[in-house]
Amino acid sequence: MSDAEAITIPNEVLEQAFHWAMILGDTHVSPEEQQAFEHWRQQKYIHKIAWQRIQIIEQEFTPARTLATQSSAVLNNLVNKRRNKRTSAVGSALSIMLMLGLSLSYTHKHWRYDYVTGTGEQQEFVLKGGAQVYLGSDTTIDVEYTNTGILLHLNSGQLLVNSRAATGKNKPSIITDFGRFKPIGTRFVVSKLANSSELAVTQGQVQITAGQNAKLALAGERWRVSANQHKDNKQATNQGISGQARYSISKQAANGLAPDAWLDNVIEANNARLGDVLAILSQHHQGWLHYSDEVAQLRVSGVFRLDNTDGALTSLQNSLPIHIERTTNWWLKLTLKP
Amino acid sequence: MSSSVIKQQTDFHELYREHHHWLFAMLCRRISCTSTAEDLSHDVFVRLLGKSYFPQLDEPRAYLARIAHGLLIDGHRRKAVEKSWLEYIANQPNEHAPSAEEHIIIIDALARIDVLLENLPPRVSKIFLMSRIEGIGYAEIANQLDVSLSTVQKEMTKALRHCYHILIG
Repeated sequence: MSDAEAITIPNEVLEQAFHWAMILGDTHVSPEEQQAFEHWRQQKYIHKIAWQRIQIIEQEFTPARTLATQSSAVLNNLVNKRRNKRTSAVGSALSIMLMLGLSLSYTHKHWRYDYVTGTGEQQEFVLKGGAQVYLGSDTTIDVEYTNTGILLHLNSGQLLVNSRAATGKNKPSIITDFGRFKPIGTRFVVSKLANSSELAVTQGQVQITAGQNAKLALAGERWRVSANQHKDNKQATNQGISGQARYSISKQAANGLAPDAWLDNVIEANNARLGDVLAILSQHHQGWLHYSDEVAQLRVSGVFRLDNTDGALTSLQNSLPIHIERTTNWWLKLTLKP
Repeated sequence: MSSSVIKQQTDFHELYREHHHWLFAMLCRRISCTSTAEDLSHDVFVRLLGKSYFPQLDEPRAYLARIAHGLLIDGHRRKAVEKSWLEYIANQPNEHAPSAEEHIIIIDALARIDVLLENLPPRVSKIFLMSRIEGIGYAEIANQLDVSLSTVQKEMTKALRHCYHILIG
């Protein structure tokens, strides 16, 4: 009897059936789509069987449609409750790991992001549409594809975007806590600092938006977006009259550092502040790097390798009047030589 | 014995012979306890025998899988779903309260769906519910959730595949 026959449906036929179920599940199905589906269903006996079998899914959902709004809300609540439970379980497991040692700390910070690099690491990938993204050391980002374009959420660290190969909507915008950077041209670097975001444009132009402020950054320029630290800022925000007052966008003087040198794994300094060089080195250095204000004010030129921070520090010690004190390998202190 | 009863017995034996092992294997995969799976696959056929008429089956495995799916909803889940339902209803004073019969039917339906959603990412669940229960079109879903149309289509296919593999293997 054919009714009871056990029929195994090949995977590719099942996949075709899922595809058609997806197409026909929309509220609008074009006559062409309907016709193509009928053609597929009639084509082979196994297609018919597959189609009948996957109706099992539809049957599960039918009863809930009589009270659609309520059902959907209740099920979404259940899904969210489950997720919160899971998230808090993962959170506590990771806090325990954190106590085991400092070396685990970065896995703890970054577990929920799309792309993550550790100290001294770099990563390169290509977005849909062709834009290239390079992540620097200790960087975390989330990638979001939306109707209006691609958004890269920079949570920490720095990234370089080369969007020359991408056009229109495929040129990604970078979002930080402090503002939004939209490329008009091609190549730029965004860095997330503690209380600000920094942009360096190497080619083309970038539109910066923060609150209601907007500025156009040109090639060769460096800009900083930060939150205003006025005393009455909080009050102003609460009264809902801020917006334009909350963020400031300011052009920065040249700092003597090549903004995209980290791509070659180096710092390229040309009469730069030592403090700026050390700030970058410390991002790539495993452990803590402390230095006095006097040390930070020194000027330095040269190329320093990021994949060998100990070597870079030694060469700084050889050319500048500084002394490096090593308490442990994790704890370095730089002071001026007396 | 009338001929129709004999026909029904033959159908049943054939159904049992052809699908019993498959059903057992499917249940083993879902609950990973051999003895319970054995009991449950037996229960599925007992349910089938209890029907006042023998259904004409186009797709016997889908039919058996649906009975099995209902038997796999445990009391714990039913309670969680019911609690969530009552909480929701309590906050909607203007909506008409379902009758006792409607209440049982809806809790059962929601519990069955909740099992299917269990291991889906929240966004996939959300999209699937908007489409399959609320009947919202893909373009509108994409708009409301601020994702692309192709993401909605991809996640819909993912959800369909997921539900199918849970239900039937």
